[in-house]
Amino acid sequence: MVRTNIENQLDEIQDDILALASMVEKAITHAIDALRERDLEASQAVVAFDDVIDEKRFVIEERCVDLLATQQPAARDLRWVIALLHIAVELERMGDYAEGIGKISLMMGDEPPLKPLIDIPRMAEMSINMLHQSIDALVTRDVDLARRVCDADDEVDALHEQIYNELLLFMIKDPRSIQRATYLLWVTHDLERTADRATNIAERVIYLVTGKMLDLNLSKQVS
Amino acid sequence: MRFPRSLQWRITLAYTALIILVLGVVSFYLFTFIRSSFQTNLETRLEHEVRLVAAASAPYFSAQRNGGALQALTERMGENVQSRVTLIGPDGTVLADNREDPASMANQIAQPEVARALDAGVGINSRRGGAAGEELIYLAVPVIADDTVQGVARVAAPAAQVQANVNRSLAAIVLIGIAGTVLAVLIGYIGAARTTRSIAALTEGARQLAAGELDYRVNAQASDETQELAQAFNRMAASLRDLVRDLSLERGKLTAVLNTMADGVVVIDGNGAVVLVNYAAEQFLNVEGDDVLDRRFTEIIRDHNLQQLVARCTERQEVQHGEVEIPQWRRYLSVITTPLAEHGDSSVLLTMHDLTHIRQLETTRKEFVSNVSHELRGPLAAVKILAESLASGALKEKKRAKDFLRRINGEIDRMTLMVNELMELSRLESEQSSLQLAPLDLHPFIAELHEEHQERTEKRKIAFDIALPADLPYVRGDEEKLRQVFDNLLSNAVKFTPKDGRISLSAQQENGTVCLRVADTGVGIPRKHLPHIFERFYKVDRSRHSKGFGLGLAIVKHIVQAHGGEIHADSAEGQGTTFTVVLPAVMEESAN
Repeated sequence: MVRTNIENQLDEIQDDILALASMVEKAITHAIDALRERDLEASQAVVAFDDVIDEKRFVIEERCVDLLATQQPAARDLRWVIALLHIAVELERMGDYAEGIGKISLMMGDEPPLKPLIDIPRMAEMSINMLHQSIDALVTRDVDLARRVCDADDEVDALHEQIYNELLLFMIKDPRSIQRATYLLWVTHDLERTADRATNIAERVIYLVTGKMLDLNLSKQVS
Repeated sequence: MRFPRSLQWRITLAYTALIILVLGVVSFYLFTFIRSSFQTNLETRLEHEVRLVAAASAPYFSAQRNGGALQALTERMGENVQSRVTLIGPDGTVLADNREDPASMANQIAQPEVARALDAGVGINSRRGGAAGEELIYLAVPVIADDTVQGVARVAAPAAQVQANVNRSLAAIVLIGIAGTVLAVLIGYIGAARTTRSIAALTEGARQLAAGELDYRVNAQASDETQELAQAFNRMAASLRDLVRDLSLERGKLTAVLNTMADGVVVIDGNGAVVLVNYAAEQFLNVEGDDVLDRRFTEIIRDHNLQQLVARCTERQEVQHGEVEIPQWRRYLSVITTPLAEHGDSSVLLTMHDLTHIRQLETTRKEFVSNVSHELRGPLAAVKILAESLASGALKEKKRAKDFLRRINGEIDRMTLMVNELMELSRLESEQSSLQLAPLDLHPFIAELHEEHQERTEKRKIAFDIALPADLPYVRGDEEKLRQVFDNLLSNAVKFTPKDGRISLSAQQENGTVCLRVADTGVGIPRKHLPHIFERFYKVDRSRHSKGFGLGLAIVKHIVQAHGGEIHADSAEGQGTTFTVVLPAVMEESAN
């Protein structure tokens, strides 16, 4: 099989996307680990790592622009390039959420934790799984897997609501806990947004393969 | 026209062409030869005849021409030689003829054979003539009498005689030629078939060999060169089979080595596709070998550090080292990427060594150090404050000084106890403490334990029961160390069991082991703490400033394990805890 120039370039961009996804996964994992362990050094590292993620995103953008300018891709290839470009943006935003969690951890500083973190790491794990699977779906063009990712978003949302209510209770019971509880609310919000963006990637995979753009959140509400 | 491709037909055709060519040439030669020899024969015969006629008629020419006698002579002669006989005068007039009336015949002086006879002695000519108009050969000689030419004698015979003979020969030659050709084709075809049959057998053999039938052998029947070829072929097949067997054996060994080694191995080709992945690598990366082969490694090994290592290795053609964390399943890998130059297309060999365990040990060690320093910091600070107070005046107040010194002493005892326990634990961990193993009768052993602890249980109004079957086998153990184990377990039970509670120590035999259970009705251990209670410095209730350091159960566990036994704990919060110690039984001793 002779590989064309454009195919090689697309593969390279895809490799970069995979690298970026792996960076984001690690950033979120480390951010949550640092938050749980109260490891400020590690939190600092997560915040600093966001620059690397941002840089990678620009590398991907450059490559996409380069490909568009020199190869003039048509039809399927064009759709693909644009999709990869969007996914790079989504990933970069997820990296920002990881940075946000790192910053919250730094803000919390030496304050004693409100409670042992159990549900937030679980939520993080679910979001990271969604991200991993959405990228898996992208690579294998697996529509079923992409749909499963979209479905998993409901679970994350449910967990988000549960943690939200729990933290509200804390605040009601003890107004002194309001600041710490609010910090944790930010963390859960960042994680919830991460899951949403993973869903966006999955939706884009469905669009790429089937040519149909489903807003799954909307369709679920209607039904 | 397409030339037939089969060897058999080519041989047959060549054979046939040669036969036809040879037959044609020979036939042509024979034909011309026969034809000319018949011609010569006829001419010679005619010449003999005409000379006879000339000699016989000469007297009649000389003794004045006797027409009647000449005519009679020609008729007689003609009858004898079975030819047309003509006698001609020197001026060309026909004197006698045995087929036509001489008077009606034209002057013959102009005929070439007559003119030639008069001129050179013999004349020959062939032309159509006579009444029938057939082709005749004329032969004439002069009639000489008294040394003068008296006239010409001529004989004529039909040329058709020659042609008939020639035709008969030609028919025979053609017949033989056709028969020969048919025979040649037949022989050629059969001969070629025999040769090509051997070749076809070899072809079939080669086909079977190519299809992987390495045990196929060619049957060598013919005793010619093809037999040698067949034998050579069979030898080749045999050595090929050996070679393949050796190779697959070698490959099997390599695969076995690759799949049993603890390090992960992945080979990536120039296009970034995975071409080899061993079992360990499958485990490290959580993939199935069949799913990942020929796929891009970046899609499978989703890690940017690893991707970077491979890219740098390809780029610089240098060995690269790196450590990679796979966050999803908390694995740490040490990775070495090596360019495989001999593949020519920048393949990369990835070897992965699992560091997860080492990292865990490091973490444990770090935790241990921080725990020890934490535990020591408390008493040290207390000693420091007490000593400072003493120095700054408390020494003068005797009562306070005494109290301070007692407390300093207490703190130092605490630290000494901890250091001793730590050393004991360290000895047990490094397996330096040698156990004095001997068969141990559990009845007196447990009775003693019961006696020792009874005082404390009675003081706290706790019931302490013992349940031992009479036929309990001996266990192999170090009595002193085992006493330490049960002292610890029973002390814990007493400590955490409230007033009016119950503690029981029971034993029973189970599949070649003895299970000893220490059960209490105490506060119990929360479920989430259960897996950790045997860890060093682990305390269920950290806030309560308990006397222990969290080392007791760690020591207990190590002693039991050194005996080849196991220990585990079951607990329900608020209802009590049961520790089960399983020790190997000594079966012979119990039988005695």
